[in-house]
Amino acid sequence: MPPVLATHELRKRYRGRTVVDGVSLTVERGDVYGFLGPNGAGKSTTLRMVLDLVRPTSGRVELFGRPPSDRRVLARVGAIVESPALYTYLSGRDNLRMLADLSGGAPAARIDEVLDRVDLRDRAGDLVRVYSHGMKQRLAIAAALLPRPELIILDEPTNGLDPMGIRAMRELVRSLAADDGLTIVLSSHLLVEVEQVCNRGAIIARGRKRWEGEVAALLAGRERVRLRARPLDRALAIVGELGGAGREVEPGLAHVTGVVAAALVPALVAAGVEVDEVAPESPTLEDVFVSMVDAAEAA
Amino acid sequence: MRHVLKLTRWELWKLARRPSSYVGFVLCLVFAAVALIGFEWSQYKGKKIGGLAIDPSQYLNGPFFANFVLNIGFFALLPLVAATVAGSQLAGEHKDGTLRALLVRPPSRTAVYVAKALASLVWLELMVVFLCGLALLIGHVAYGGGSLLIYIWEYRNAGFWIVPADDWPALLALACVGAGAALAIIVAAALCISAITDNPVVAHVGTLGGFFISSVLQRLPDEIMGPSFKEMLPTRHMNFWHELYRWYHPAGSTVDHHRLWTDVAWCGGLTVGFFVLGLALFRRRDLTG
Repeated sequence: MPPVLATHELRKRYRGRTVVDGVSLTVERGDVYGFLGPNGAGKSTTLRMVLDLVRPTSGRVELFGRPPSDRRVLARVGAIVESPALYTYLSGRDNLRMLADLSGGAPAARIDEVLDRVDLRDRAGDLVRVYSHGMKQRLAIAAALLPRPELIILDEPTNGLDPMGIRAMRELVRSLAADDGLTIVLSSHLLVEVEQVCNRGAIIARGRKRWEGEVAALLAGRERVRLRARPLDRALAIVGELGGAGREVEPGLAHVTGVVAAALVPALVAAGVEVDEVAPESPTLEDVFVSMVDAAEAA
Repeated sequence: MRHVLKLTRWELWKLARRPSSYVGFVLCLVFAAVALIGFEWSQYKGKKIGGLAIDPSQYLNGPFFANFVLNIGFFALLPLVAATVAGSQLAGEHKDGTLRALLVRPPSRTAVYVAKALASLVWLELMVVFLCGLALLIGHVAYGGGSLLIYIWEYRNAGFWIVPADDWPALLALACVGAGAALAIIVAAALCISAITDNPVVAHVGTLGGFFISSVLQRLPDEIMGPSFKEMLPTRHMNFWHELYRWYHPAGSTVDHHRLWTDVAWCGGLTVGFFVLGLALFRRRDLTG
């Protein structure tokens, strides 16, 4: 069975500038796939190429094994690209009626069902013009869910939402994956979102893919020790003698990798270093992401 | 085809639900009212024009007023309305972001483009009929009914002629259809520009600018602007529907079929040309921003 979504060496150039450079991604059925990158990294352009809104300069896209130019395949995809795109002079329900019809049709009961799902049924008769940003975002998700898609693509779904809205959106994404079994591609520059919600993902910076794989695997093996000791340079020399590496991140504080705390403490004490703090720490996706983006910037 | 019909229905529904779509109707109302005021100030009102076999002032009535408003509106108002409706179709939706919502669904870009063109034409035709019908109503209330006096500038050498009361409703209906068809060229041009910009004002101004430049060039003397060049100007051919009036000449049809079909062919060709160009550009366009 072909992957739900695959891109092969996707490249896009605008006026001589390469904004997406040979990006290959694979999203398998059931994945909640985080597509991470700083603003301007090429995430939205990649997703637009996936959805046939932008033509690749080279490379190709496959949705369920078919190119997106085969429009029938888009009936299996629900998407929100950047801001929610809705007709503000229509009611929420009328927006859904029209978009459902264009996606192959959906009965009124299905419209009620998705409105319930995003908690908008009570406001469905109001013009979208009076909706808050969060309500528009939820309505856009309802529109994407209408045709019972197998793949949902959400481009920066929490942009502009307040903290409550962000939490609600995160819960909704979790529920779409867990309860509905949908494959989800979630583009974001918010790492906590991806870390909390996604099982697989990719990192893109300056138009190039820097990493793709299991989110857990990305974080595994990157444990470090938080070390506060005096004198710190002596402590870091001992870390080096033990085969590890350390970096002073602020005065008196270093992050150490390659050495476990249990081995480090006796060595430091034996060398007469005063140890104020030794704490094993798991890096966040943000740490990994920042280091990758920094490396890309440096390159 | 199924997608085109479905999309056209929804495009018309969106036009009907969008408040700005009714600006054109309001302009028609204002235009007819201003024309009536102009009529009241006319120097010919109530005066017999010397040297004519008929007294035109007897025929200043509802149908004459409707025909007058339709003919003046054809160059003064309806191009503006046509450019506004069609120019907003793609550029306006791109600006609002809703074009993305349409294009990530199964209907193709071609279906979306064709549906928007059809919806614009239908909406424009509704406005043409509304303008003529409104002027007819106002004219009837102000001046009463009767036969229709025809005076067309291109055929001024033929003078006036009268279309009996039994015949003018069909003539006016045909004129409305003809005027709408002639304005299809403006719709196609506006849609073409709308396909390459995300600012509807660019499409409106660009189309109207082209229309007025064509109008001005067409009126320049042949010594300055050669007839063969003028022949290529859209406005040179857009009056083809005026030939309809000559079907109703009391001496029998005096339609110049060669002229009629030449004009129809030019208008049709330019309309199809703009349409195909716009479609090709739209199909290739990257939807960014």
